Amino acid sequence: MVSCSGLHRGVVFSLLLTAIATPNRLWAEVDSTYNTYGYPGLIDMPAAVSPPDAELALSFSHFHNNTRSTLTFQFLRRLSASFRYASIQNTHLTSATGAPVIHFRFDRSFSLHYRFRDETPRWPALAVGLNDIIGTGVYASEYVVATKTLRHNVRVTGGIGWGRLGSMNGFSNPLGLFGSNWRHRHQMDLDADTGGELKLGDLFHGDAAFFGGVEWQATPRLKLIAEYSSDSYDSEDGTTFDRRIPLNIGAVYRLRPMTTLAVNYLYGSELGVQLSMALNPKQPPFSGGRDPAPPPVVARGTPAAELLEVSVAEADKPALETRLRDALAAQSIELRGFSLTPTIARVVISGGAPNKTAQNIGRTARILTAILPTQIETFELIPLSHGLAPSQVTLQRRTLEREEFALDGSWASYAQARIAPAEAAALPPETSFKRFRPHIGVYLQPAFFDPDEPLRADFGLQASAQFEPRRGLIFSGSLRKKLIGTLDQSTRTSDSVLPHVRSDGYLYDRDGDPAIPELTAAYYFQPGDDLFGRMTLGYLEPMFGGLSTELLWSRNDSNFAAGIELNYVQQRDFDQLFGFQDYKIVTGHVSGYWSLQGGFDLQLDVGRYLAGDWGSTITVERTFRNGWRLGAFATFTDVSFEDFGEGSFDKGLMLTIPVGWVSGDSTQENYATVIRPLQRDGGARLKVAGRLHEVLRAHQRPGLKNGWGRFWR
Amino acid sequence: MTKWPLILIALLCGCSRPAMPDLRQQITRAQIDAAGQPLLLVEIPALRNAATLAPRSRTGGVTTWRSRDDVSLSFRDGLVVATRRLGDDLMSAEIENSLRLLRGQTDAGYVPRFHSYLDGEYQTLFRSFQCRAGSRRPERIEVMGRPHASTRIEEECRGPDLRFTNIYWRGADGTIWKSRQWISPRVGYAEIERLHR
Repeated sequence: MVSCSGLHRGVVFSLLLTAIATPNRLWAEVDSTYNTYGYPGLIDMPAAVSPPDAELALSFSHFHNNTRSTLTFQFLRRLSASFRYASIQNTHLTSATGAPVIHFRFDRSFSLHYRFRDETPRWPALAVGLNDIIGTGVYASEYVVATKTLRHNVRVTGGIGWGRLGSMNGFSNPLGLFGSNWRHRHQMDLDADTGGELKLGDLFHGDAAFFGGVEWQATPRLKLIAEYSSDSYDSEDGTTFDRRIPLNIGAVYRLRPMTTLAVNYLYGSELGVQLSMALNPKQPPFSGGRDPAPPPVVARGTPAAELLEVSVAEADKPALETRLRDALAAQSIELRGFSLTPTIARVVISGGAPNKTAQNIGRTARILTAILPTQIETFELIPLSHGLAPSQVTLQRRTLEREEFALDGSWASYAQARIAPAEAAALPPETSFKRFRPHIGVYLQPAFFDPDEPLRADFGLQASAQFEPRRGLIFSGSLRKKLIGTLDQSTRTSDSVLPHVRSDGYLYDRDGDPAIPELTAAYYFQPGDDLFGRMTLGYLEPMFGGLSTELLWSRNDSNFAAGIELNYVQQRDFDQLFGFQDYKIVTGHVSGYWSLQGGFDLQLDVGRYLAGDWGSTITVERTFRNGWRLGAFATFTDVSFEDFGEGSFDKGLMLTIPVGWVSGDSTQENYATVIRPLQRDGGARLKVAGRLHEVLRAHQRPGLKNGWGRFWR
Repeated sequence: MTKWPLILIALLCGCSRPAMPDLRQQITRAQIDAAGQPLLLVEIPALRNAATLAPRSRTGGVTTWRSRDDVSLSFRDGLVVATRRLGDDLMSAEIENSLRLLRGQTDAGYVPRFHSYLDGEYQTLFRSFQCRAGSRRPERIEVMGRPHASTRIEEECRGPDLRFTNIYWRGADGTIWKSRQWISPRVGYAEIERLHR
């Protein structure tokens, strides 16, 4: 029965007005935060919410005998991926009553949380999640959860859980309809399990239970939560802590836009605290604009350009070259080659941060307008990377004069530029440049997630040098002296049945003081169109030395590249000086690299690994156009899970942070790290600096295009 | 790897910012006259930063002024069209309508104004605003001890989620002696005075 009274219409109208007056607010008022496991949720339970796309959060949660540190990345708009490092004290080895108790346990686990349906005015948001999919199974659980905003500041969540989340007041699995095997789940057994295997067979199996909760955004910064937990903490109850009631309450306070502090009262017995800090690769602290202002364009026909009205024939070329070199050096760009024809200037440059190549090109072009005779109409700029010249950027002087202050000057300069492969054979002769580049600094080498100690690190001095006697031939080396550190405290003797290609790492850390992590001669060359080559000889990495060769096919404008790498290496002595051990191996891979739409890179390597095992590695990375990269990899080889040992197969997370993102200027360095839950000997790949795809990526058309916004920066 | 401590420090510490330097106390009329070139005094309250800028180049009607620490502001007829090294920089701007508005050449309606920026991934981001003339009245102002007869003109602009009001003190010959111009969300307003020699 539809009522059309004036009152009713008034209410609808005022509701509409509220909706209009607070656009997007209706479903965004309640703050979405991370739970004690570090994934999106309530207190200890999940919720069907997602943090903003690309948010990277680190959360630390502690309550009696339970500490969880979790790194969660919003890999897709709907998909959160977490890596967790937990320490649990006095826990039972299995969830069976009367199982033996172990004093202390560090545990690593992965989680995935996927919100597959958005909230609508009538229907809740829905999410599904998997916890501890390839770990030991301590936290193994799955859930389907629904979350609905009731009023602008109240939100309710309800869901059904399996595994751990089906342990409190559990009932027979409704999925048992599809077969009785859904009703059974293997019991977690920390003693027998090496972890790491994908336990897909157990997902959504066994008893299920309901959980739920309500969130109330009391003030813009403070959120109060009450929840009913379906986790009975069977293996922890009574020894780790006393789980009295299935109810939790908590308060979350937003200290800063991306930092929250929570205080929880858990299971009727324990007080817990949690700190979550996030950053977003899409939001650099300084908007990337702390480089010194660029040199100006000097337009022909203006008084400033009068001095340039000489013909190319009568121009003093050595003097021009000197002026050019000095002006480029002021921008931290190196002049590597220079030639003039009556109307064309060819300029080879190097230096600067890789993701700011377009900025360097823009600055070089502006400098040229202030130095070169007015007859020169065309600038051909060739940025070098490790002596390779993947691209040539051709710019018209007229465009620069016209577009410097145009509203769409950045797009105009890109559209009017020609980006093509450079002809390596036709590069101008090399000018004199700084061939020897020494550097003395400090280093910090962290080691995460050792089974005995979550974080160890060494800190010390590092002297390094590069010498490039001619284009493409690069000698480099570094020497480290530890000042202070704990890396040598690891005493976990390797129990690996494979050749100890990585698992003796702690011996290298202990004996390598001082150490020579790297001492190599590398030669980069272009044997043909779209073909690039590398040969590296020497002490390639802390644990191996020898010869590494690589050939890469990579078209300038293609989003696919393929390469082959072949290495013959010998294991180095633990002291990381000049000696070798007996172990020798031929190792190598065939690799394919794809750049997918939307900022995802996919890499597949197939070949032979350091321990002589054959297999393949798949790597997926989310890439940001400001140079951030975040991804994960997994390697499967013919080594059995049993022979591999704890972890079952090699996998890990990769993180690259451009230092310039933090500082706001054009620092060349990247901070890159690989986080492995555990380093074993199977599926281990040789580490060589300056692999070709990495070296070329930012200098080919797609990379230049991504950075072109900075052309006029 | 060596920059890891730097990253940690930058991420964990909120940067404590010093008070804005008060250049007015430090600059004297004699110094301005001795400079031998025109100068701009630019103060940016949100960044707590202030500097004097000298003209550096002129291309196609745009003059770029630069400070000694390599911050630059570029102007077309007294209106900011680009900034560099302020962080959240104005990359470019289309301000022809605003210039007409200043000269009193448009009727009372709104005219568009366009800005471009770089977003967090350094991609070009355009923002457009609708602007109209606000109050307009004669006002005698003093810039570093020197009086100027001027017209005080307000330009009121609004975009989808931003609004700002620029104020210009314009001399009879069109010189903008003093202005307050909005740059970007993080930089806010720049307060600019022309220190005539």
